[in-house]
Amino acid sequence: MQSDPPASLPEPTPTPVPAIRARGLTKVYTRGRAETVRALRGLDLECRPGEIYGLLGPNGAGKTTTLRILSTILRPTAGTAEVAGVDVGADPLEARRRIGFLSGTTGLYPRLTGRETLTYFGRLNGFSGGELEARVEAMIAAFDMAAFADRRCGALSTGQRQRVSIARAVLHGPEVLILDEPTTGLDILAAGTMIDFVESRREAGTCVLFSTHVLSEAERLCDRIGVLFDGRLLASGTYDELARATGERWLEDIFRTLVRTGTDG
Amino acid sequence: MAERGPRPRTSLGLVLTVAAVELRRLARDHRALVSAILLPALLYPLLFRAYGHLQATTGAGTEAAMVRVVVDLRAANGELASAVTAALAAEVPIRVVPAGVAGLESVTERLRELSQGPRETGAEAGPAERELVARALDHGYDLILCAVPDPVLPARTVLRAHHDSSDDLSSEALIRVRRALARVEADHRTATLVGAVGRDPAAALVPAVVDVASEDASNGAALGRALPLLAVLVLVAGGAYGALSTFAGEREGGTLETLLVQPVPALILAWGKYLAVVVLALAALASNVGSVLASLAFGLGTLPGMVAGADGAILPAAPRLCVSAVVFLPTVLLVCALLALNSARARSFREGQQVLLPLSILLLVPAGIAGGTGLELDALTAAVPMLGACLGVRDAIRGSLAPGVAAWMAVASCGWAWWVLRHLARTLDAERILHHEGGEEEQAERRVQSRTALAHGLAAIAVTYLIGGCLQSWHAVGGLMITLWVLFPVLALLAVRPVARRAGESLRRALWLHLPSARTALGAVLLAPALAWLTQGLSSLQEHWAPLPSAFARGGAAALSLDGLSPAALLFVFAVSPAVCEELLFRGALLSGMRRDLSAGRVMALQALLFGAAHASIYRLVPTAFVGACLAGLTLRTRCLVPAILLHLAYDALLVGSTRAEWLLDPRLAWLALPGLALLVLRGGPAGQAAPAGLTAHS
Repeated sequence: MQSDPPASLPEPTPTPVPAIRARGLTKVYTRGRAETVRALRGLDLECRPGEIYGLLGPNGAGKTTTLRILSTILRPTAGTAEVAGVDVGADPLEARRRIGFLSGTTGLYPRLTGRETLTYFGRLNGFSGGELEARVEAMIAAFDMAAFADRRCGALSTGQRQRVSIARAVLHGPEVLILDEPTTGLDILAAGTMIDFVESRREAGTCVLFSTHVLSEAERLCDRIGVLFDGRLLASGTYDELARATGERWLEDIFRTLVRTGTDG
Repeated sequence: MAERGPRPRTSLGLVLTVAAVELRRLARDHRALVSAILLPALLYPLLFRAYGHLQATTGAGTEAAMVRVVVDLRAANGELASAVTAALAAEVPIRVVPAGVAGLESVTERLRELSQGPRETGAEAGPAERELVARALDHGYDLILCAVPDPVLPARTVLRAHHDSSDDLSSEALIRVRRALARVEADHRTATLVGAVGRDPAAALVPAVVDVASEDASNGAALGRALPLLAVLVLVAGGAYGALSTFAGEREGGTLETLLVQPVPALILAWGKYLAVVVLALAALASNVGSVLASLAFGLGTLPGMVAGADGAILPAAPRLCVSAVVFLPTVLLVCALLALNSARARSFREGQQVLLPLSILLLVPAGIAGGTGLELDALTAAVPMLGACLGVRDAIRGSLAPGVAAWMAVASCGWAWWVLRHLARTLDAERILHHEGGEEEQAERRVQSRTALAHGLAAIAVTYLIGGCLQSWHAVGGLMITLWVLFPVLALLAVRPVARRAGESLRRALWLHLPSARTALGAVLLAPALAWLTQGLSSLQEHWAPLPSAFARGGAAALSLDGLSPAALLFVFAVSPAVCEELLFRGALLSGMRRDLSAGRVMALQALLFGAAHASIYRLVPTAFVGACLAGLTLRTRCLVPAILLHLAYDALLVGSTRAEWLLDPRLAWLALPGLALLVLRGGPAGQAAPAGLTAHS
């Protein structure tokens, strides 16, 4: 994969509004009949265009729920969320056009080739004819997939499948990328590819919101970090801001201090 | 600024895009395609060929085989003995061996003596006689024909043919002997009548049979009986693979989440996948049915009742086959919709397969009924899913399909398919599918326990139809007792064990099998007259659109006055046994699973359907379903199985008793329901019984 931002990648349409804005986002799950689980408790979040924002938090903090609400997979119980100025609740289809979504558990169709996969999702996003072909070829070139683009995805290696997945997610030039633990299950090289790709999005002006357990990724990539715990955003800011607020130096300690404070509070 | 792509294509364009990709994926599963489409197309011709060859070989073998018959006609008069001997000799190939030549004179003498001796009532031969014959036949003979004095009128002679029905040649020998004796009897009768009155007066009563049905019509009737069942079978098999792959397989493969975040409504995705399932099912149907028709057309084999015409053609005219294909099309849509819905609700390929068997039985039973009974296609049957279409196919092939009824049947089938498809779109709701990935909460959301209970219920219905029906046709009372006291408890145990294990309960607790209070028990029994009165009313209402045939009514009445059964026995057979065993299964085991996930209303509705269907009669469907719903409601209300058993018993006892004492069904007795309801409503709850999870809170 090319380390420099590929010039052939479609550029997202810039927008003056925040790329992501969530106000009072709440999500309550009903477990069985009597028990309810509050996955999110009035989350406020704002991400700027071209910013890489990392969501950190322990299991059950609400990271995946947040990302799924923003990507229109789930509906919030209360609150509002906007992606590139589009209310995800009011117009989910339009919001999806502006989002590229990728998670660690995302799969590919094993009996379709990489090219067929890109073509399919391109059509679902409204492209056709010559424009679709051009975009697909651009993706193949941008992610160096020419050698295996016409091989079925079931026969590809992990790293090759990952490139196809990324290409699929950015084919339509989304303004916002939502990545849910994208390096889960990847080896060092494949994870490195993903990190390089995320970094390249900054220059392209794409807002990237991703969740991760790997603190080193957050340290390296994120312009700002949000620490989520028990459905609440305990803190949000740059690495330096968080370090000053907690009096800690390392992100791991910052994280622990915030969680402890949040638990005690 | 990068140019954004054009607005999404039309809905139809997106549906076709999704369908095309799904079909491409399916087409690349070569093994599944070969087994679903190609292999059957090759197997049918081989099957027909092999079966036809086997039949010809077996039949020719038996018909051409020489049979050896030992005859001893010394006790018959000379004229009769000569006629019989001559007739036997004319049955070629047969070797008639006098007993003396065979060295079996002593055997036939002994058989003659034994025929005069005492025998068990209804027995044709005693044990000594059987053993003697068996030893004699072991000498290489197939039948022993003896003339013996009639035990009642010694002056008269009767013929006894001893053979072994388990041996093909012995059975063939009997056929030939009977044929020969029939000729002798006919000739003798005719000669006697002519001698007495100068002619055979009965000759004018033997009609000359003229069959106006053409071979085409006869073949159409034969094909119309077999083809609907085959078509449904193939449709289910072919469509199931496509449905599982496009729905459950997508979720299992982890691609569903990605698909659901695309700017395409879930409805479009559902329609596209459904369209792929329909195409694959049609391909499987065309391949299989086409193979069968081609095998018939090329004379590789026939179906029972089919004969080749003068021109060698065996298939009905092509237009009729085309009409039957068009008539069946709405059913294809319905079956594919059901398969897709089942697969969309499944979390994995394997889970979807688990519900396939009961679903297949549910779809095949109407097809079997259409092919096997004399049911006519009318406005009522045309509206029944599957049944109407299968009857329509049958009539279309026979050339007797009425356009109006066919149109109504198509509308009804399409309506059913549309109703199922509405639910299909909702199953692709991302929140429902994805936010509970596994675990108890998803199990609750997906209503696994109630769905499993429903599957067990459908299996119970199939077992009742197939096994219970065979048992009861063998012996009415014995078969019914085995069905109730053996099959039903086994089914109940199979259904309730996993429920009890999951809930950490004993079987008794899971079945709500404890003693109720006296007040509750009395209240339940007092409801019986009202229940009987209401069901009678429902039966009367049902008479308007499904009149009870008189033969059915006579049969029902006759069953309750079975000869040899005392009133106590009748009560045990038709009241106690159904009450205990049916309640154990339906309101015990099946309801135990249903009530974990579903509201009371849904439980009662499902119980009504299952109970009504299990009684295997459309004429009793409405009243029986009503009884099922009432018994379910009573069980849920009292949280105890015993009141339902008592009510069921009292209700059946009233019906049985009313055949001898009509006052038992006096409508005034229905007022007893008032104190009965008061006792049930005002009762205290049974001690120590926790509320079932979510039953009252669930909406």
